[in-house]
Amino acid sequence: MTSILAVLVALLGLPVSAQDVPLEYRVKAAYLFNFTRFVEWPEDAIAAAAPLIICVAAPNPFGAALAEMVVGEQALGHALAVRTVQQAAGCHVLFVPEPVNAEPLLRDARAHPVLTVGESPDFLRLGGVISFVVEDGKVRFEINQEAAQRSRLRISSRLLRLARPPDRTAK
Amino acid sequence: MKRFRDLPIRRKLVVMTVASTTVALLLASGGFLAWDILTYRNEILRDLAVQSRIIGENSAAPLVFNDDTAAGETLAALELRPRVIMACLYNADGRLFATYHRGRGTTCPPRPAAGVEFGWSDARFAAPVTYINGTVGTLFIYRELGDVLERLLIGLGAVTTLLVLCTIVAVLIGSRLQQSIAQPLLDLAGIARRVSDTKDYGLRAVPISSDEIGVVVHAFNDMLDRIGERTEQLSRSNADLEREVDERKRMEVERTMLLARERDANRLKDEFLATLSHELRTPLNAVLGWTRVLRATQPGQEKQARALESIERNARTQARLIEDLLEVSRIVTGKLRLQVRPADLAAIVDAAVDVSQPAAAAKRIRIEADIEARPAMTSGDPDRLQQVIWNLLSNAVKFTPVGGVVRVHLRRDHGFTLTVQDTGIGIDPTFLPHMFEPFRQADGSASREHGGLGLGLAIVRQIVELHGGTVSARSEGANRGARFEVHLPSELGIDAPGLRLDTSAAALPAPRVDPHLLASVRVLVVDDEEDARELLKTTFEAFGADVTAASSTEEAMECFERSTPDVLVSDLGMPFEDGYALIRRVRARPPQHGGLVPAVALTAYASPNDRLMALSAGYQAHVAKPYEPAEVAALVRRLSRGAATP
Repeated sequence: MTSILAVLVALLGLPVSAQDVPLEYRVKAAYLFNFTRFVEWPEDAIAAAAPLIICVAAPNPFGAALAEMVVGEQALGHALAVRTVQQAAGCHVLFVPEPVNAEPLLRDARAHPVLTVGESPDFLRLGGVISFVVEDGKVRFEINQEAAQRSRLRISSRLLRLARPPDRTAK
Repeated sequence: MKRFRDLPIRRKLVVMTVASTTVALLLASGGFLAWDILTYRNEILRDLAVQSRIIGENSAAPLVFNDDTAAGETLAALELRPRVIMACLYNADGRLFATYHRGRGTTCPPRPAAGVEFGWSDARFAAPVTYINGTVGTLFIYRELGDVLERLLIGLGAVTTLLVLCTIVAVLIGSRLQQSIAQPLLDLAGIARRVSDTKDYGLRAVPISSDEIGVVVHAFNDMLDRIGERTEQLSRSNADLEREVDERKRMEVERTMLLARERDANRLKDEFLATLSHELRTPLNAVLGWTRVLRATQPGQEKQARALESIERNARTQARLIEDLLEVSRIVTGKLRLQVRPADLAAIVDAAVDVSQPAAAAKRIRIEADIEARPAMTSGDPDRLQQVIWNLLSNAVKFTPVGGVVRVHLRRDHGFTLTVQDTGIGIDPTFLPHMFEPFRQADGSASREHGGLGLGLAIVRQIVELHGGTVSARSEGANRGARFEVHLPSELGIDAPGLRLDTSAAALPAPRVDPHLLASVRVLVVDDEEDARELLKTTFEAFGADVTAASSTEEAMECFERSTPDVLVSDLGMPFEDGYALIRRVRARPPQHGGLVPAVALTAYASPNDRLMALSAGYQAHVAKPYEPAEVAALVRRLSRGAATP
């Protein structure tokens, strides 16, 4: 398992400074960043000069890895910013790590165009949009189209195509 | 393989047509094919670019999210492109991420550089896969180019087929088109060949077109016209030249012949003169010899008679010779005239045989006369005919050896045919054609055996031909005798000229000396030559005439003054005043003074012309010297009795 992850990290070309973060989260950090490129937010969601804010519900499992990754990068014409938060307000992307109870966060986020990303098995059922799953040692994800539409998010068909069907994870 | 320029024009034109068509077609086809292949290649490139773009777009997300399965599925879309053998997707690090293989035996190259690599049979295409503004990987597509080759082959096949078809069409068109150029030229060449073969410059080429070939044809025809004219001129002048040469040759031959004939004639004349001299001298010798004997000695009665007989015989021979000469002279000058009367050939032959008997008897030659037709009446000159027969007989006797036989045969045969055949020496065949030419003798040498002038046969032929007859000679060869045949028509078809003239002594009967014939007839004899004058005087006195002699015209006129004679006998050729002057002076006298006295011209000028001149001058008769005294006496007698004109 470790060796496979090591290969993955090498493939993604992550910076050496993030080596203290576990491999799985470094991959997930990259995915989080990449999701911003396949998702469109409603026009009123982000102010013109404002950055696109990626929130990580505390405790942040990525350490500094995610923040380092997005430095200098842009998505949809906006600069990127990473914050560790307790609630969903002000977030454009919200990652809810496994140990955190996702329900209140999802409830908060439901009325806003927030791309919610989780890793617990029932995250999608709770109304989350994207949920990481580990399959054959590879990080994959599932997408809840209904939740996305409810949050007025348009997810690229190319991303949808890569997503694992939700019924398979329900097993 | 013939060189192009030696090909016939017909072929050349076809080859040109086909060659240009083929080359043009090849160039066009080649260009088209190249353009087509290039276009097709560009299309393939564009297609590859489009494909790689699409594949790249679709591969970006799998690359980003590290989903090689999804990437594999994306690449598998290339299945719809059968020419694509292989596609390889590499991530940003250059590691192989996903592959697509059609069939086996292909492996992805490590880290291919972006770009296009076009080979003969395949193409390699590598392009980066971009996402947002970053490169997330590389796509490599490997495509085989069998379709290009196929397309090329199909194109080549089409071009080849087209080429064959076009060549066939070009040959057909060329064959048709070449006729318009080649046919007139071939016609022209044919005419030219025929002209050179047959030399017929009347042939003409027919101009079909008015292009340059038409001009050539016209020029060719013009040239033929010129050549024809020149040839005609040449042959005309050649013919002229030939005619001239022929003319010259003919003239040359004629000249040569004339020269030969002249030489021949000169030789004959020389021979004849020698002969003549000899023949004349021989009797003269006897005459002079016997005369000298008579004068020098007192011969007895018998010897004197023999001498006189010899003298007379030789003198007659000489007279005969001179007569022959005159005859020939008349023949040569064409003045021989016949005195045509009814004549009995049988009687003439009898007379001739009688005359020839003594000579024949002398050589013990028998003359056998066989006369079938009696009388054999014809019209002609009896004296001349007798001369012919006598000539033939004396010839036969002359050339027949002692003891031979001469046969004379006369028969009726569309007229009369007289044959004289002897058993003599015969005639050399080479001499036969010249038998009847004057001055011809088989033996022309001075030492020849037989005498004579060689005139007899010439006279014979002339007389016979004047009678409208023919004479021919035949001989079986030497010593086998000769045979002369004379054919005479029974009636003469000609009216001989000079008939009106009185004849000479020949017309008179053969005389005998009658001492009383001219008794008491007064005759005046005029001759400048004393001998001749004395002979005449003696002759007439022998016949009993009273003769006065004068030696000139003047003397004769004096005699007239004294007494008029009964008859005047005068020589014609005299010095000062000749016989013609004399008779004119006599005829100028009044009749009672002898102006009408009968006159006889006695002359050596013996031609018919002389005779005519004498008669027209005023003489009643003309007697040629030598004369037969009895005949002249008879004539004088007739004239003295007033019977001068018949």
